[in-house]
Amino acid sequence: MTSYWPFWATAPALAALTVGYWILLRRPLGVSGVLARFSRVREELEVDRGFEAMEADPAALEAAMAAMTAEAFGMAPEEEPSSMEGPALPTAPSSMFEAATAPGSAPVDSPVFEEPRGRACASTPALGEHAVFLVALVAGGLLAALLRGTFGVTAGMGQGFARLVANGPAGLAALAGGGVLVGFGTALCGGCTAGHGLTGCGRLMPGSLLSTIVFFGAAVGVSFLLAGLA
Amino acid sequence: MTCSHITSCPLFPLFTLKASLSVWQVHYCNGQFETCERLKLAKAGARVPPNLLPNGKSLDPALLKR
Repeated sequence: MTSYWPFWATAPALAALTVGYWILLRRPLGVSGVLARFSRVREELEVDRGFEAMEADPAALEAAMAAMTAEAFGMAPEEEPSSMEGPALPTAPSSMFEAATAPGSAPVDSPVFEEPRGRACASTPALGEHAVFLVALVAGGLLAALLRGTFGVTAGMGQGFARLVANGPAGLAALAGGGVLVGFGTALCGGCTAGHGLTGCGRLMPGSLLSTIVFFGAAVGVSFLLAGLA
Repeated sequence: MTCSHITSCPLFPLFTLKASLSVWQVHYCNGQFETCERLKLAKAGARVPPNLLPNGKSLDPALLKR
């Protein structure tokens, strides 16, 4: 059986991964949400196209926003951009949308605005980037197995699984059913061990703390139950 | 009271960069944010399209490209 890292090494490693992910990418670490995106590819691609359209032409975006503002609030649309009130756009960003959504960008004309706590997250990446993320997950595990010399293709889950659950088609059906339950559970609570256990608990979010207590508690309980049955 | 999603909403900085668009911020972000369709969608766990406005209408992507 593979030996595990000692707890005093695992915790800092996981913390470094979680914090490093946020520092580098400005996004919370999570996996189930990424997988869920590929269950609704058409909608996700449409949203990605929406982001691209918003960033494509700042003048068109400004005109469209002005028209929708007039329609929604009954205000006369601005006729000439030079006559519009408001501060000048910040320099360097190539589009109004990029300037507005750049991490750390602060509002410049908001008399009743309360300064937000913390910096904004980066926007959700395009579907292709998340596809690379999932491929890298699998590739990373494959690489680790190859380097350790433990890689092998097998149809079974070992003697322990066969003794406690089943072997052959019944065992595969049990695995598939377990996968369905895991998918259902992560969709129900909005996250998995990475999203809730690492990111959410690290941010002391009550929902994540409760979710982690529940699914780790269930895992420990089932482990003891199976150990007793064995 | 301010909407809890202003730090992550891509439209909020747009509303604050131009005074002509600040009416959205006053009406929704700093006002009746419970009626914002973007907030409702976000709370439902769905990904919010960037061109969805708080009143539920969407910017036509075709109009955003020249």
